[in-house]
Amino acid sequence: MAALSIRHAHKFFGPTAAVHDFSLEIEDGEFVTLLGASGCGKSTLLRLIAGLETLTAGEIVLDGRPIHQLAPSQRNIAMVFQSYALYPHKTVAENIAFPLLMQAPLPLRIPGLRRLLPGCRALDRDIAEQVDPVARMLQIEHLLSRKPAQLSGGQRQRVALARAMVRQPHLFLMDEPLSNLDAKLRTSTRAEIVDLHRRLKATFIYVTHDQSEAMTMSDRIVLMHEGQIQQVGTPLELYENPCNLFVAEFIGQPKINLLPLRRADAQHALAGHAIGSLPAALGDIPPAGANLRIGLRPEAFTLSEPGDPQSLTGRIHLVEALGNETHIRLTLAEGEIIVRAQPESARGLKAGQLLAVRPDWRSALLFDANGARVQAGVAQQAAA
Amino acid sequence: MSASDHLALAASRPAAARHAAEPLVANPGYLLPAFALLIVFFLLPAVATFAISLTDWTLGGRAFSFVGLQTYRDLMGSADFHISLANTLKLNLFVIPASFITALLLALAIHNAAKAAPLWQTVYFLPVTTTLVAMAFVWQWVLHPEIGIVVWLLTRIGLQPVNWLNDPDIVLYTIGFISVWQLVGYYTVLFLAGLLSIPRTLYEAAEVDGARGSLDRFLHVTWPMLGPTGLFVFIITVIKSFQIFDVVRVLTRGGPNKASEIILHTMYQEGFVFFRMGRASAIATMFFLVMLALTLWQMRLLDRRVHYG
Repeated sequence: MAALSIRHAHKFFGPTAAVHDFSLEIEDGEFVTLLGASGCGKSTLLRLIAGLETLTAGEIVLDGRPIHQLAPSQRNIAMVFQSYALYPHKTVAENIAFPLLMQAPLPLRIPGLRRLLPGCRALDRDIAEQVDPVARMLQIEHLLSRKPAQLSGGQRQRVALARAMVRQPHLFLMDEPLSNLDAKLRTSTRAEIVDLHRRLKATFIYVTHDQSEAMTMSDRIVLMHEGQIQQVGTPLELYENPCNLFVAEFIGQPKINLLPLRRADAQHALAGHAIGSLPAALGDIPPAGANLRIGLRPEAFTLSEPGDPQSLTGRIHLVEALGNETHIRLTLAEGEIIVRAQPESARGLKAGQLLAVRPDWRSALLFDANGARVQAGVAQQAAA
Repeated sequence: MSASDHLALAASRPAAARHAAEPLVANPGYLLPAFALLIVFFLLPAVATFAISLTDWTLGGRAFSFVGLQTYRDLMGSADFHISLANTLKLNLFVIPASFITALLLALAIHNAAKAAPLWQTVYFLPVTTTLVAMAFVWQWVLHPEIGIVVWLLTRIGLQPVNWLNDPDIVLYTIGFISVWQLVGYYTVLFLAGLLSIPRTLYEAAEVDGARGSLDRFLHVTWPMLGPTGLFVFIITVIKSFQIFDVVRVLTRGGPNKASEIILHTMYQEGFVFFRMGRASAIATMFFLVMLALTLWQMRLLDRRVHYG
């Protein structure tokens, strides 16, 4: 069991708040990712959970037990550091064994002296019995006698994982563990960590600034900005149903298109193009004058013929063929949009040509002047 | 790629990669100036010292005769030389561990002192910047048996006054203390540099892994990571400690009754007070050989146990 709840956590460094009124319930066995740009407080939050920083206010409760006043060593939480933080003077086996060794009574923890003590051999045998299966699981058993300096980045990462796993903690904290690997290794290790999570049935809290890691690995994503939660939800919830402009812009590659929407009488203009009355799919929108923006993902367009009254026509600025899909940058009357198209339908398109695209209104997202999401129905209440 | 591009590429290649293709030194002649200086100021005097040690030459004397190893035999049989040898050993057995351990403890304390660290660092480094001869006179006053501040303090708290520089049982340790005081700041700074190079995340990892207190942190992170620094400081400590001379020269001149007579002072006395250059040279030669052996032994012994990141 490892259910974690963070209640009204605050962390100040001097006058700056790194974490501001953060509350979150994490269920046993969940894979939760803290996502955000650097400086958003996600690493600080992880260090608060580990006990490497102390809370300014609030509490952290693990399985019903408040832990925020305990020393890191008393929390039984494992952590994988971005730099891996392997002990360079210890062999791989000694690195992995270290958390187990630290559970032994003091005289047996003293290097050198411990060999003279009666319990030493039994302890070492016991430790080896626990290290071996973990090393086998991560396929590093042939590296056990090496020093970290003799390992590749990927191997070091595995040793760091093994060291975290060896004492079977219920909560794993991972601070950007893949950021020091090359792109290819990162993708394969990503799958391995997900696999590991499934096998260990432990709770994982994973910090990253890489949205594709967050999207592919997590049960839930916590998107953070300036020490505060922007949105918590499954990866698809965040993508399809962002609660504000920040979330909509952060998630998604290429970025969501934001088009200014204006209304005069019953007529609407989107990015400077008259589109007549708004489609019913958008629901009710606030009265005229509100500085509204419509968010449309790059895939929320279909290519159509010039002259289609429901389409936006612009000039092609750039065609980026990626093989499996093609990104078309289209200059409209106001601003530029990116359209994701199938390679066959975009074949033959060239920069400088005119192109009409028809927005898929059902997936359109409406935002008010403050960047808050305007939901269908909610707008009516706001207007009333 | 043009020829100039190739040149630029070759120039930017790291030195290690070039080793295989090119000789280690571009032109061995470049070594000559430094080598010449080494010969003139180190090797020749060393050989000359050994040569003189085989004669009975006195400083200023015109004539001398070759006596072979007789001087060495004389020294070995001399009771005074034995006292000097024993004192040197005793002094070093006190000064080396005392300065090494004190420097390490000071460095750990200063390292943890956060904001006050630069202040403490300066305070403990100050003695290094002073001239020991001048400082020796200050110590003479501080330790004066009648008007010294230490004796005054001792009597204030009801203890017997101690004659720090004239008590034969104590004088060697007083000399040792002053030497440690003077040099410990230097070793502390070396240790501090070593401490600063230990990544913070290693301590954090150790804490998360269950290291419970400062002893665990010290034994499993600080001490092993400090290995190379420790080796360097230890060798420097031994060399500096065997070089102690000026405190003895200024404060006690080996007294009282040879209680603080150490090898380097004996050598000085023989050579420049009694003008027996043969004897002084024999002492210098022995001293040199012992130091050489000691340093080589240290490097061999410790290098194997030291971790270099």
